[in-house]
Amino acid sequence: MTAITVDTKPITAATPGFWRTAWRRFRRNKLALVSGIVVVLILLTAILAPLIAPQGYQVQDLANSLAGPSRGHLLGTDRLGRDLLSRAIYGARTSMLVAIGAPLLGAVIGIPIGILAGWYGRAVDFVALRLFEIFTMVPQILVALLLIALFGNSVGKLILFLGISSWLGFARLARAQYISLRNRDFVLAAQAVGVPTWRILIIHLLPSAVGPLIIFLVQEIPATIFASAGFSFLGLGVQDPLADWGKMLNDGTQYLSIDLWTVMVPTVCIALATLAFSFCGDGMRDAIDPSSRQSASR
Amino acid sequence: MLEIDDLRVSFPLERGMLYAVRGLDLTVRAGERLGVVGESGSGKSVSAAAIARMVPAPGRISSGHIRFDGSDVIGLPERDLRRLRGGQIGMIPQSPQTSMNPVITIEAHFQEALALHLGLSKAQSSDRTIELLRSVGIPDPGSRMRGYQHQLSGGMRQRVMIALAIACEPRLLIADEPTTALDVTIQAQILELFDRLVAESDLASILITHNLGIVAGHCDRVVVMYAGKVMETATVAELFARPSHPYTLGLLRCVPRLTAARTRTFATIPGSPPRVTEDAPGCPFAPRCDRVTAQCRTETPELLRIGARADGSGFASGEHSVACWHPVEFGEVA
Repeated sequence: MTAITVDTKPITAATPGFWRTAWRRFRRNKLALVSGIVVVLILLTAILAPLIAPQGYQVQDLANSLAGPSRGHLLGTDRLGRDLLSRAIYGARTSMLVAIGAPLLGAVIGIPIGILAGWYGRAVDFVALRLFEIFTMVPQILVALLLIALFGNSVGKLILFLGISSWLGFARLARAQYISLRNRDFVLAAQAVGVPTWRILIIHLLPSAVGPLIIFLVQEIPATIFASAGFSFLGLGVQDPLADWGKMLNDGTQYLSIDLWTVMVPTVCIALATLAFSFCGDGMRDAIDPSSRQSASR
Repeated sequence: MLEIDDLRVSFPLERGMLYAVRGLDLTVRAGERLGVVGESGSGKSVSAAAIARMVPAPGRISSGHIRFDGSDVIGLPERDLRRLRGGQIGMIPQSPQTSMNPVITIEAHFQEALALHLGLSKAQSSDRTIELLRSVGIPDPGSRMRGYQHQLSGGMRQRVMIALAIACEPRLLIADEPTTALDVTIQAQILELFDRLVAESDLASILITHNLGIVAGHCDRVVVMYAGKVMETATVAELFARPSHPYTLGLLRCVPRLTAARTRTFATIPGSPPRVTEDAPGCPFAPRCDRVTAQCRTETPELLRIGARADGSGFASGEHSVACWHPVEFGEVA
């Protein structure tokens, strides 16, 4: 007699979940993985700036202005003798705050609009689509620029204005997702059980739509880094003595012929962050939605 | 318990209208098992959806009354409608493969319904879910319910959907071709389960199918639909013994029988059901009927009760109605 043993361990443990599978695919992509590590490092730097930075971002050492790298200032100083390394570290804080905050705000504004347009269709969708068209017509950066020119600037306002001007992409994406989801059988089944519409929209459908939206968010970050650096470069971004990569670049360009470091430090930071977020975003997209791999090179 | 009176459902097309249901009259009494049969496109699924006001857009209930326990479903506000769906009327979908949300656990499906209709807490609903899943024959329900739909086979999924449909103790269960998406071997099991649950909790049920064989075994009364209209209605025994409408007769001839001679060719009804884009008078079955007369093409036959047979024998339940100018007489065909 042979006894038959039945494996009774919970099936949930046996089958890897969606996110776990995605993580495995992401890990296999070396460029994305390295970029992901860089992203994490940048974020840690931003969060832990006061602990890491050798000096405050506003501490001046006028005797050593525009100095090259030295034992006291590893990456040199700017025209007011402020430590470039410290400013770059604190700059990560401001730049990341804006670069992540603005797309997040855009998502918060855009996703509900897109959901409603996609779900209800007809008149709601018509209005939303016309709204999309109007906003597509006006360059978004110009809108932000106009708002800054009108209302002044601070880190908070920068996030607000850049966020307002970036809702469109989120709305479009959410709309497309919900149009494809709304006619699925399980939506009908949920309605047949008497589930209220808001629960269907948020609890039932959002988890299916959230992947592409997160990817879009990550891909918006490098664009926002660029945009906010651009504003700072134009003098419309954050103001002295606050540090921001774009602003550091703006400060540095005036002394380009005297001290290359003042330009190089922020430029490398911007380039590194932009590339890291871009590759990381691409990697995430390929990991979450492998069918999009063909268009991976943009 | 359920009364449908002159229900009409139509779908606007790019050009004109599609009349899916044209004046449906139907009643279901408490505890009764009603079968609705008809070919694809006969309006049976749309009628079922209309009962809970779930006609898919852009379709619309254009007129008629639906009364459930005396309350008018068509005039019901959204809030009460949600209480009706799931709470009073349970629905079993056609394709269990796509009717569960792939990103939500099985338990969460139940928890949501139980909280909405019975106000159960998380812990209470867990217990109830295990109990429900066990009653539909899911092995090891405690760990299964923490999984997702893709971890279940088609038959298992339909069992789960049935459990979900009866979770909140509805009084009417509507099953829209619950076995079409399943393996033949599973179909009988699912129908047995359906029967058992209906009997146990004294539910009224509407079973929609195109298979008269299923009706024979699992229903008390039958409604035969064609082109959005009721052609004939009778108790199951009466319908099989004494089909009155030529269409019903045709359908019965199409059912393959083990007892039939091997040499007999498989019977079919020539042609296919119409897409009704104009509500013109005349019998909708006329173009395919072998008993057609000029009257059939110009005048719409009404659904009329067939009286008790003259000799008072047989199944004259007084509930046998047919919409035909030239009904098949008893004994006319073997």
